[in-house]
Parts: sequence; C-alpha cells; structure tokens
Amino acid sequence: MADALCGPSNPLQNFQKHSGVDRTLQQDRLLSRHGSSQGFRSGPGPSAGLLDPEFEAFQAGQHPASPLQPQIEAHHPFQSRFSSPAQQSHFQQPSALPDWARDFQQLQIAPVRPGSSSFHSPAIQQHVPIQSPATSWHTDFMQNQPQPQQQQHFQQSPMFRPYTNHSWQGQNAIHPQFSSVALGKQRESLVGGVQFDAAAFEAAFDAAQQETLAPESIEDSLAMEIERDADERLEAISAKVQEELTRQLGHDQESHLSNLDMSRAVDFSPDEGAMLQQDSINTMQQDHAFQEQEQQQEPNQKGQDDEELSRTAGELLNSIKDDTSQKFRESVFLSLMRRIRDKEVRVEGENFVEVSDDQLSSPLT
Amino acid sequence: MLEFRTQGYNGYSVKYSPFFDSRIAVATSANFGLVGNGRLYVLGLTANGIVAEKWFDTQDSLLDTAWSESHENQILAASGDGSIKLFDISLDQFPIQQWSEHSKEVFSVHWNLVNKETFLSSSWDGTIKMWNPNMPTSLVTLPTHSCTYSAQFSPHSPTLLSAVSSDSHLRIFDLRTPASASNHLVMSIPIHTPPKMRMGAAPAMGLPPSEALTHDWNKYRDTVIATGGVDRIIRTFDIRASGQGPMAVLPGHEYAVRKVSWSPHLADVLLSASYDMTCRVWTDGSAMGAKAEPGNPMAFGGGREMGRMGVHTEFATGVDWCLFGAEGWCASTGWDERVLIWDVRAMMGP
Repeated sequence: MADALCGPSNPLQNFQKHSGVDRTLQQDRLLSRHGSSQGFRSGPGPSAGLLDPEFEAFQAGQHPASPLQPQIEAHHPFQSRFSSPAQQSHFQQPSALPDWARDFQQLQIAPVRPGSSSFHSPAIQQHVPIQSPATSWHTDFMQNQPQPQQQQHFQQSPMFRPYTNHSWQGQNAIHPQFSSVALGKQRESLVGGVQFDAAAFEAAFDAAQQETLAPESIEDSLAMEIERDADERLEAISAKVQEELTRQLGHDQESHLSNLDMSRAVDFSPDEGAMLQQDSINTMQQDHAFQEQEQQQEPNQKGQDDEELSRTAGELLNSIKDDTSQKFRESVFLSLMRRIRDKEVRVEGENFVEVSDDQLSSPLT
Repeated sequence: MLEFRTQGYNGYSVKYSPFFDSRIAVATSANFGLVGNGRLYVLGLTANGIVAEKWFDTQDSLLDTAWSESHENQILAASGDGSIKLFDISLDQFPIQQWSEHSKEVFSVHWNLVNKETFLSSSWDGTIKMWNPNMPTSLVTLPTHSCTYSAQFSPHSPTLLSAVSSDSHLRIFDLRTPASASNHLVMSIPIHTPPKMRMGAAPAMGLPPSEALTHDWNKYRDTVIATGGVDRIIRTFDIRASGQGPMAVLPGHEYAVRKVSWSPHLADVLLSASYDMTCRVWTDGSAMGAKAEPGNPMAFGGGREMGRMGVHTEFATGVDWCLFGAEGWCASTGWDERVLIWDVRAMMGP
C-alpha cells in the first residue's frame, strides 16, 4: 500500500509490481522478522555518497580512480588484505568501502588458476586468525570453536560464499560498528569468492582433511570434542527437563481435550460463541492450539480426552441453561451434549458410541 | 414449503446453482461435524418434490460449498481436513481436483462472480487463499492472523475481496494494489465499533469485540457489506466510509448469526440464519419509506426484522436466495438434517 502511494523510488520496485508473482507468503515472513534487511531499499542510505566514487571507479573499468586500486596489481589480494594492520583498522570505518568495489571486480573477473592456486587452504586457515590480532572477535571465535570444525566450515562453503559476501558487505556499509565482526567472516568469504574452481576446492578439502588428521590437531580436537560433548549433553538434559515441565504445566492449566478427531468439537465452540462465556471460548481455543503442538496421542490419553470433551459439553450446556424454549429442550444436538457431559456417550473412532456398564459399546445411530 | 431430509448428515451450507433454478447443493457433515464423514448433496427440484440427484461422500466433514460460475457441472466443497475439493456432478464418486494447502479447517469457499476464473477459500489457519481451478497451487495467500470464517469476492469487481474473522474485523483486500508488506490489505474495519453519534439520538452502547462468522456483499450497492457474528447482531457497512461505524445495526437474533445473504432482487433486503434455530428476513432501512422498529435501543439506521421462519428444529446454518423466478424463494439448511425451500414473502408479517 505504502509504495503504491509513494510512487516509484527505484526502477526495480516497479518491475517487481509488474512481475505479478505471488510473494505474499515470503513477505509475510519477512515482515515478521525485519523490515529493514532489504538490500535495495537501504541503498541510498548514509553511505551512499561514499560509494559513489567506487562505483565510478568500477564503471571506469581498468582505469582505477580509487587510490587503493593499484594494490590489486601490486599485491596479491590476500596479502594486501591480511598482512597490513594499518588497513585492518580501515575496515572499521565506512571508508573501508573501497574494497567492496574491488572485490566486486575480482568476482566478476574471477581468474581461476587451478594449477597455481594462490589459495593454500591450511595456510590460510592458520593465517586468518593469527594475522588479525586487531579483531578480538576472532580470537574469541578461535578459542570457542574446535579447530577442525572451523576449517571444515570454511572449506565447504566457498560455493555459497559469493552471495553471502554481498550481504555482509552491505551490512558492513550500513553498520560500521559491526564491521570487525563482519570482517572476520568476510575475509573468508572473499577468499571463497575468488576460489570457485572444483579442482582447487577438492585440493583444499584434502588439505583440510590432512590437517585434521595431523597428530597435534587430533589431540586438540579430542579435547574440544569432549568438552563439547559434555556441553551438549547438559543442554539436552536441561531442554528435556524444560519440555517436561511445560508439558506438565499444559496439563495442569488445560488438560487435553479429546484426540485428534475431536479437535473440531473444541474448535466448534467458538463458532457457537454466543452460547459460551468469552473466557470459556478462550480456554478452548488455547486447548486447540495446544493440541496442534502435540499431535502424538497415547492410548491412555483417551480417557482424559473423553473427560475433556464432557467438560466442554458441560460448559456449552451451562451457557444456555437459562433457555427454556421448547426447541432447545428438544434439540438432538443439545441432548447429545448432555449425554456427553454425563459420559453416557463418548467418541470411538469416527463415531459417537454409548458407554454401557459392561464396557460394551454399540454405535449410536 | 418443500423439504428434503439429509438423513444422518447435518447441514452446514446450501447454495443454489447459478445455472439451473432447480438445482441446489448442500454441504453436510455427520455427527454435527464433530467427528466423521461429510457428504455433498446435489438436489433437484422436481414435480414430485426434492430428490437427491447425486451425492459425494468425503472422508472429513464438509463445511461449505460453492458452485463454479464458469462450468455448470462443477462445484467446490470446503472440508474440515483443510482440503478443498472440486467435484464434477456428471462424474461419480471422486473429486476431479483437490487442493490441500490449508493447515486447518476450510470454513468458506467463494467463486469469483465477475471474471469467473478464480475462487477463494478461507480457513481457521488464519489465511485466505485465491485459486484457479486449473492450477495445482494457490495463486495468492492473504494472511489475516485469525480464524477467518468467511471470505468473498465483490460481486462488482474481480479484484476486490473481503473477509471477516474471529478478531471482529472486516477486511477488504484489493489485488490491484502491489503485493507489498500489507499483502493487498486496503481496509480493516472493526465490526464492533458503535455507530456514529447523531443529533437527537442517545449514544450507542459499546460492545466488546466478538467473532464475526459471516458477511455478504450487497448485490446492488457496490460498497455495502453486511456482517453477522457471535454478538447476535447484523450490521451493514459502507466501505467508502469505513471510519463511520455501521450504517445499520439489526439486533434480534437470540444467538450467534451464522449466515447472512443479501437478496438478489431487492437492494435493502437480507436473510439470516442463526443458532437460535430461526431464519429471519430484514430490511436495512435504506429503502424509501422504511420505518424503524421502535423499542430496541440497540437498533440503528432504520432497519427492522420483516419476518422469520422457525421451522428448523436445530441450529440453522445455511441460507441462500434463488436467483431465478419470483423474488423471495430461498433455501435453508440446519443441523436438523433438513433442507427447506420456502418463500420469504409467506413469512413476512403484515
């Protein structure tokens, strides 16, 4: 609605209107999460001016307008990025953005050199954390994360990196304060962005595996593993306990109404809300919601379900007890409700059956 | 008054065919729709009374039905298991198409009256979906985030649709608007707002929000919608003046109003079915010379009850006007396993 009134703010927006694809579901989901995470809308933000010269540089192609551009020729990308601490500090400010344009260029060109792959994965894995002491996030990350896992993560994801690369960059531009965090990832992602070749990927993967199997790292990873195992177990246990507690609470608050078949009976009552006090309606709606979550039915729950159904029927009847009209007295539905309330009738499969003393039940016609 | 017994099945909805004046469909459910199967009846009116020409049994209860506007033999059924089925009444047994996207009971289906190519469904899962019978998936999903009991296309525009839901709101969606964050929603009218105060009249009583169960577009005044629900009151709204509150307030039903339907012949007449086991015919007071019913402080807008039909012995759930022939003929169904065909004029007082 809003953008219908405000007119086109960028050409893509209009195009999207014309495409006519149903995106309501996605948008609904997006809306519930974050409104501002859309890359295009935030384009002309605070950093728009900063980006302009880079864009021009990019458009100019091989004639770099940016002062940082020569570094591409001079150094290898990784070296230029990782080795100079001075530049590291640059990243924390919006002025670090020059790199974006450059990276983008590299992505476009992506000169894949499988043989002389400048990307020796293990070395780089070691490299990254060590060479960047400025970012404390990294050291934290390294301490908390089991080494082999981290490597695998970096190794396996390059295929997807070019995409994330952009999103990280975008965030970087908008939230400079996050840049130190973002950069940690970003560096890896940049590496991945260039490194797109399957052969090189495999080589890197092998190297990582070898590294994992190296004696000292085995010791390390073992220790980590044990620690993590303990953590996980504790977590699992506490989760279990919590779950149990919630379930118990659920039972106390509103015991289960009916099995799945009867869920409609519960649901039904809102429909007849006029006959019910508002609070009982709420109760039953909650009941239903609760039931949706717990689809598994156990045989011994059956009795409880019947109990619940009879309670609902009782509430319904209670809400119309002042009505003494002949129609309501003679109503088949209401007499059925009465019998359910008095537990003369219960649900068996897809039918109501009469409950007799000797537990023999016959279908109700 | 003609009568047909849907033995063993309780009626939920009744619809006249838009193609034949002698054909009526009834969506029914066993055990009052609480457990068990459903059955879609196709009834024919013959010289020997009403006969069942066809019926389709379904695994789960049927809560609503709608005839195709483009094919005289096709009919939709909304099921309690969240599925929508399209039957061809010239074929036996099985639906020719089935859609199962809704995660809860589908409570209403409605065919587009203008372009005749799409239809709507609304569900307790809090969504309205638009479909094309030739497509395997829905075209558009419109969230309402609350149990949506009724959704309809406008009879005047192929892209305008409306819905009422348990949050006591009447929503208007316009598919011509871009699918932006508002999901085509252009209007959300709180149904429970009291009517606007007028000179010389006592201020209207405030009412708490309550679930809205049914609504219908006026067939002549293209911005007027009637709603009914758990608060027992029928209201009419003009969507051009959504902030003004209801144009007419029609109290009278003793329990929740389950279905309202505007007359296809008269701009001010509507029919309702209620859990108080009656069907009533109303004027909303917009016709020339209409006079307000004295006495009821809730009433507003000059509308009044013109007649009532109390033959049903259980909750009356469905009512529909006959499009053909003499104005005033209608069909009603209820949980008393009966379909009644009657003339509204015979029920009206002097």
